[in-house]
Parts: sequence; structure tokens; C-alpha cells
Amino acid sequence: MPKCPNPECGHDNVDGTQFCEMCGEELEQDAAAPVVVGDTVFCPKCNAANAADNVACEACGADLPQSDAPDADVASAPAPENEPAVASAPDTAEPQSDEDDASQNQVDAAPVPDAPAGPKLEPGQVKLSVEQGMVTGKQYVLGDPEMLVGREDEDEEIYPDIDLDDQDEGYVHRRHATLKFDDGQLTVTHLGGGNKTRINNRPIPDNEAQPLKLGDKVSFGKVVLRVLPNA
Amino acid sequence: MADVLSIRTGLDKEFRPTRGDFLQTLMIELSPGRGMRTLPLNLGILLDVSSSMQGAKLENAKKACIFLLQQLSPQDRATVCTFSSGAQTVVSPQLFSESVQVASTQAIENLRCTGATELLAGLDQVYKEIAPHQSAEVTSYIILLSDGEPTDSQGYIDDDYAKFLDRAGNEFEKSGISLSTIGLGSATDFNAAFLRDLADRASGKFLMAPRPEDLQETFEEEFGRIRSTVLSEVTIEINRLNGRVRRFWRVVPDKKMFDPPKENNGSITIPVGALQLDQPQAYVADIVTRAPDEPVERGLLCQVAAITENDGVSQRSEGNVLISYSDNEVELSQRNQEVVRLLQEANDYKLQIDLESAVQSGDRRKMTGILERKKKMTQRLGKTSATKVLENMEDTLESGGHISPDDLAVSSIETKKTKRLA
Repeated sequence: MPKCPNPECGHDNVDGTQFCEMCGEELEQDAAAPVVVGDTVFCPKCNAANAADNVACEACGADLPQSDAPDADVASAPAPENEPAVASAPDTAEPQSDEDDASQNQVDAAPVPDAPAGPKLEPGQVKLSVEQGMVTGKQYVLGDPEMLVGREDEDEEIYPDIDLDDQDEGYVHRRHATLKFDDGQLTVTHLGGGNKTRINNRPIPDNEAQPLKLGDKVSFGKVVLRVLPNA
Repeated sequence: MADVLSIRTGLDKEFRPTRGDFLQTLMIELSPGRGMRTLPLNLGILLDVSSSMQGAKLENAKKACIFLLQQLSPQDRATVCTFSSGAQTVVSPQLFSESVQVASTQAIENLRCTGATELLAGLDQVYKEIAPHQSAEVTSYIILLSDGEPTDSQGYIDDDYAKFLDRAGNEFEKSGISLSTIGLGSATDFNAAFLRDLADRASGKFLMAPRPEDLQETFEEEFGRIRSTVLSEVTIEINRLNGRVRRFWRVVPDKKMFDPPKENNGSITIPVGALQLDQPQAYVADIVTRAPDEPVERGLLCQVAAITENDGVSQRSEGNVLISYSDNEVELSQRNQEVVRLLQEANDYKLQIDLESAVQSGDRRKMTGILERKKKMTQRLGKTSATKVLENMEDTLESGGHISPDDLAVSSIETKKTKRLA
């Protein structure tokens, strides 16, 4: 019988309750242990098979536990063998709150990588392809020198260049990040919201342009995209 | 039947343990058939003409009221009643031909302000006028406008709110007449929570017009919604229930908390009112489900039916809700995110009610705790405007101030909003 963690309440709720019936406090759910087989991790929520480096389940979008991967080009590095891909217990069924994420902001921020070597990138030569999201395979060509990534909000008159509204369930902020071409280099800047922008699974600091190179995996909230050449 | 009304159900947790009581949330989505014809109106407008309405408030109310009557078609019926110290019928219920339009406009132009805010007399008057014309073939709605707290005939505030709520609730359940409320001016004057609850009880909507010049737009907004009604008296039935319903909410298109449903021989009947054109509605029920008597893998939780009447023919759409039993941790931890999100929306509304209660009690510590939880919820739901309002309240409390009725009213309206289902 889950007891409400709110010290002023402490109500004994019926098993299965997700929010305390008396005070609305979120109750801790019994999270199932994730099942990891080789390079495959099974979603603790829906049991779907995912690649071990997925940050979110491809079937239901739930958080997946992350490996202690290096911050360098994870996407192109071979997956370590015989090593557990799980660093910690998964989140419960509830999506991670902005606040929870924000509290980790300082400690989790990725170190600023060195300037990437590689071809010069110009508008129109690069695209982002959705690898994890509601519509996988959808592509966004980066055709402008600077583009806003976020979710459309008619009330606030926010119309991002890359609108991810149809890709997730509210984890992408309305003004989430900007992508910018500058002197042959593509950068991404997280605009400060609690649900982070990540490069190769690592959160980046707020309001600091971070270089992106071809093959990188960039995540906005729970939507994961691959940086690809636009042939 | 699929053309008139369809029903879809889902559980937040498909699996439950094989032993003990367990709480599961059932989603019931009702969708009217696409492109159905809208129903003629049986409309009552109830205007507050107490002395506080003097000046721009009354003039704008007249303008909004006349504008609304001008939108009516010849098959629509309407009545206009007023209340102050007592109540009267200004425009008797009639079909709105052109000649009626002219006469009604004149009658409304002649309205004058005086006296108290005897709302109960006003409600009695308008119900008396429109009840005889109610049927499943029309949509019966009352739009109430007031700028102050209800009073008795002497002008003393009448805060026995229960009797107003019961009056509106009983009339809705008995005759299917819905009531929407519009608060004019500052929420410090008209008690937003009361007007919201009044609308909730009668399956209507609460709106605010902070300035008199906002009135026409507010009337128009609600009139547009009422106008698009395609089914007027819809009832949800839950039968053969293997458990008990603890709470029942509407969460789409806006939120309403129902009284705990009463069970009768394993059946529950809940009148839910009108459905608008191409606008699905979603409800959630918290159900304490029981363990099976014998080991089984799957069983019936309940049968859910939606009942209405269309073109004089009773229509029924129903479906079975099944649950699976398991003690496998992975299966038990599965969640249907669509239902979980609706549940979060419902809990957000509960926190709003708790917040209002804490503000009323003056318990600042309680207010702070609820604000913290509610802010977390609105952030999770991606409701930026609602979060901003809560942050303002937190700042007010931190600086030693008091949460204003206006802030609370805005928070209530923001909390009521939910995204339509895809």
C-alpha cells in the first residue's frame, strides 16, 4: 500500500495509485529492473527491444537507462561488449519533470568538445533525421543560417523553423535550441529549458554554442536526431 | 450507431496483480459522428441588473446580449431574464423571427439597474421559462452574467453556495438544462470559484470578462460553443463493474470533477450533457479493482455505454473493458501514456481545488506545498502560462503578500484547459 511521501499527508493509498488521493503528491512506482541482453535493452515500461545506446524507448518514448559512454563521438564508436549498458535504475512511468532535469543541469553538463575536424558545413548541406520520436525517419533540411528548434505555440506566436510538436509529448520546449552555421561550422545552443539538448547523449550547457559534426546524434527533449549530409 | 456517437476506452495499467485491491484509471472517450447537424437552441440569458452593474457594465451587457440574439435563427428559441431584488422575464421564450428580434432589442435597451443580486430568484425565473421547451432535439443552455456575489433580497451576501449548486445540478440532471457562467470585472467581486462550480454542476463553462468591453467577445465565444452542439443529452453507463469507482472526471475538452458516482447493483449512470460538433470528450474514472476469485489471466472489469437520443431515436454505443492479471513486474509496470497524461490533467485540477481551499483557510505553509506540487505538474504537462501564474503566486507568498482572487481565478481557468485528443 503506497504511503504518500508528503510529510504533511502520509495517506495510505490503494496499490496502483499514481498520485496521492488526498494531496495529489506523486507516488513512487515500483520500477521493474531493466533487462539487458548484449547490445539490446528492453524497455521497462513496454518491453520493446531497443539499441543499448537509445536514450528513449522507440516504442513508447519512456526513458531508458544510459551506459557510461565517453562524451566523444558515441554514435560512431563501437558498443562495448559484455558490459552492462545500464548505469542506473530507470525512471518510473512518469516523465521526468523539468525541475528534476534542471537540478542536474550543472553536474551533468557536457564538457565543451574540441572544434571538430571535417568538411565545412553550409546551409542546405546538412539535414537532421529523426531516429527516435513519434515519426522516425522524418528529415529536416537545415536550409537557413540560423534556425529555431521547438514547438509551435500560436498563443505566444512561437513558430520554430524545426517544429517538433508532432515528435514528442511536451518534452521539447517551445524555444528549445538554435542551430547556427558560422564560418563553415554548425553549432547548437540550448536555450535554457529544463529538458535538455544533448549531443551524443550528453547534455550541453545552457546558452553556449556547441559544435555539431556529421554523424553526431543530437537530442531535443526525448526526440533524437542524427546529423547527416544532405546529398 | 457509429455515425452518431462512438466510444473508446483504455486503462492506465492493463495488468493488475492477482491479489488485493488495486487502483486503475479508466479512460472513456466519446466522439460524436463527423459533420452531424447542429441542434436548434433553447437559450436562456440571465443578466445581473443589480446596482453594481450601473454604467459601462450594463451598456456592454446589453450590447453583447443584443448581438447574441441577432445571431439566432428562426428555429432557435430564446428568453432573456434579469435579476436584482427579485427577477423578471424581459423577453419571453419564443422562436426568433425577425419581428421578435426587433421587439427583443427594444426590451433589452430599456433595462435599468437597481437593487441587490438575488441570484436564486434569477435562476428560478429562467429555469421556469426554458424548462417547458426542453427536449433531446434542442440544446438547452442558460448563459448567466454577474459581477458580484449572490445576495438575498436585502442585499446581504448569501454564501450558502450549496443551494445554488444543488439548484443548477438538479435542473441539469432532471431536465438536461446546462448553465454557463460569466464573471464580469474583478474576481474580488464575483467569487470565481463559485461561478466555476455552478457551471460545472450544470455541465456548462465558466468564463471571465475582466473589462466590460470584453463582454461581447466572451458571449460570442460561449455562444459559438453552445451553437455547435450536436447531441444534447448524453449519459455514460458503467455496468457489471468488478470494483468501485472512487472519482470521476471530465478532462477533455475541459475539466470537471463529478460528485462520487453512486453505484446501484453494479451499475453507475452519469449524465454528462452535450457534445459539440467534431469535439471528442474524455472522462477518467479511478476504479479500485478487485482480485479474481479464481486464477485467471484475463477478465471483465466493466461494460461502458454511452446513451443519447438523435432524431427521436435512442442511440447506444458500448464496449467491454478487460483487465489482465499478472504478478510479473515488467507487465505490472506498463503504462498507457495517453491515460496517464489525462490522469495528470485531472490531478492538476484537484491541486487547483486544494489550492483554493488552502487560500481560503489562510494556511500559507499549505499554500506553498500545494503550489510546489502544482507547478511541477503544470511543467510536466507543458503548460507554460499556468506555470507562470503559479510562479507569480509563489513570489507573492515569499514576499509576504496574499494570493489575490484574480490570480486564483486565472489559475483556475488555465487549469481547466486541456489539449484536445488527437
